[in-house]
Parts: sequence; C-alpha cells; structure tokens
Amino acid sequence: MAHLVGGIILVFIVILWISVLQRLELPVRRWTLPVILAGLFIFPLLTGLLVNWIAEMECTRNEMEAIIGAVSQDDQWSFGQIVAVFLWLPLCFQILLHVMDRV
Amino acid sequence: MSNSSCFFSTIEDLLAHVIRDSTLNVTAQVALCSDICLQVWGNGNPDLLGIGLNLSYLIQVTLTIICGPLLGAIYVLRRPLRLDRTTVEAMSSIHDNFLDTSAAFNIPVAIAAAIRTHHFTPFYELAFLQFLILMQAHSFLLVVAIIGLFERPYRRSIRRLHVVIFYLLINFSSCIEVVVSAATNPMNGVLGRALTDACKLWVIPVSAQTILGQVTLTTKDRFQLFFGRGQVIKDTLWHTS
Repeated sequence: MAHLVGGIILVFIVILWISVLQRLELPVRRWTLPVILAGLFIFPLLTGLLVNWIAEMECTRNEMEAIIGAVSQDDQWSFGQIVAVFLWLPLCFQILLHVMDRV
Repeated sequence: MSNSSCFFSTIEDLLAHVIRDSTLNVTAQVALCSDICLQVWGNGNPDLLGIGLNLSYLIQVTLTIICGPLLGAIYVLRRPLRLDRTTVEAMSSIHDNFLDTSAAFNIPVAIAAAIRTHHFTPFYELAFLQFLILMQAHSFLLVVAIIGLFERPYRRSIRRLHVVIFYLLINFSSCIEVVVSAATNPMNGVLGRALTDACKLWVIPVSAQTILGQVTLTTKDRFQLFFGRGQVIKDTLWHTS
C-alpha cells in the first residue's frame, strides 16, 4: 500500500515539475531555487529506487536458480527472448554513433 | 516425484480444489504430491522471466541511467561543456527515442504482468513481477522527468507531452493493478501460508519469506543474493524445518 501511495505521489511530483518548467520557460541559468531543489530531490530518489528494484529482481532470480536450478525453463533462448534484447539495439547504435562522431 | 495417488498436476488445480472444497486438507494433499511444492516456489513464465528478458531489463536500467540523469546533467551543463548544436539535437533525439522504446517495452510487460498476477502465481513469480513492474515504472518516470529540462528549440510540444503522460498513466495504472492483485492473490493469503506450512520439507525462499513478512534481509544478504550467491543465503537464512 505504501508503494502505491508513494508511486502516485511521485508521478504527481514529476508531472508538476514538468508543467512548472514548461510554463516558466526560463533558461537553465535563471531557474528558481524551488525548481533546482525539486530536481535535486527527484533525480537521486528515482535513480536510487530504480537500482533498488533491479537489485531485488536479480536477488529473487538468483535465489530461485539456487532452488530449482536445472528444472528452470528460464535459461532457454526462444524468439521472444531474442526480440526483447534486440529491442534496445537501434537506440544503442544511435548513442554509439553520436559518441563516435564526437570523438 | 509424482505419486500415483496425487490428483493435482499443477498448483492451480490444487488451489482451485481447496477453494471449492474447504474440508480438503492442504498438508495431506501436498504429502501426496511432492512436485506441488516445487511449483509453489518457482518456475515462472519465461515470457516475463526468461534469460533474454532479464538481459533486456538490465540493458533498460543501464540505458535509463544514461538517457535519464546523465543526459539531463550533460544537457544542463551544455554551455560550460561547450557542446555544439548538433550534439544537443542528438541528445534530444536520443531522449525522445528512448521514451518511445521504453513505452513499447514497458506497457506490454506491465499488462502481461497484471494478467499473470490474476492467476495462481508461484511465490517466485509474484515477488519478481512486483519488483519488475516497480523497476519499469521508476525507469519511465525518471526519463519522463528529464523532459522538463529541455528548452526551446528542443522543448517538447504540448501534444507530445500529452502522449508521454498517456504512456505514464497506462504504465502506472498497470503497475497499481499488479501490486493490488499480487496482494490479493490466493498465494499471498491463507492458502499461501497453508502451502508454505505443508511444504516444510522444502526450503522456503527468502522472497517468499519477505512477502509473508517472516524475514527482513540485511544489506549484506542482498549483496550476496545479487551476485548470485544464493547458496550462501540458503545455508544461512532459509528455513529447512
């Protein structure tokens, strides 16, 4: 329940933050203190939570691999598994090409 | 090994019978069907928990950090860093593409997870899906939060903002659906407890114990689990009574 309330509050804070920035139309150097403070609160909090959830996912997965081991069907590369990985490939290439252009 | 007197091949069959017939003794049934205990813990749906999907989740988190806070920080510091117009345009384009790819990946996963949690889901899958859905929702939120940083001429149009907020709402409503249906899932209630009691010959995974509120993991335990040292935790934490 706490996750739900926290999530809803976070969504509202982010939407509010975006709408304030869109309305202000101020360049970065003229940002007001509350906007800067909100940014310093939102980004570390969301990044921390993101890392926490992926760590929990991997812990759960590793734990179950220790129990069910060879019984698990999770380690088979099917069509869906390959599509899921290749989904990110165009974006990775886009980033890589821009980085290579800069170097 | 399945016993010839076992009438249930899946956990769904067993739970459906227990719900229909309250006089049925879960412990007695589990004693006849030892395979059932393995199903209580694991072997989730490979469409959501497979090796490729897991790799994709790790790529998603890495790209979120690159296209989210890192890209935002570089954009804000573009003048001190003396970035040219082409680079800033490329950053804006990368951010926009990441949003679309992320939405195309997150929304089907969130809807599939919401459907899965409406069934009798094993403990492992129940725990994994909740963490997965929270991870994806926070990933999307983190990248959406960067939109506010972009100034003219890279500022997103109001129509584009409406589309992004629409993605965000679908993602979060599916996330809420997963968390609520996981909390009300039969595996998370009295039946789940009856099954964990009945399967005492089998180890109780930490994820199941965490769901049932039986253990609180320390940071050291989490690190050991994260780096694949499940066996260490098994030896030290799991109940084998």
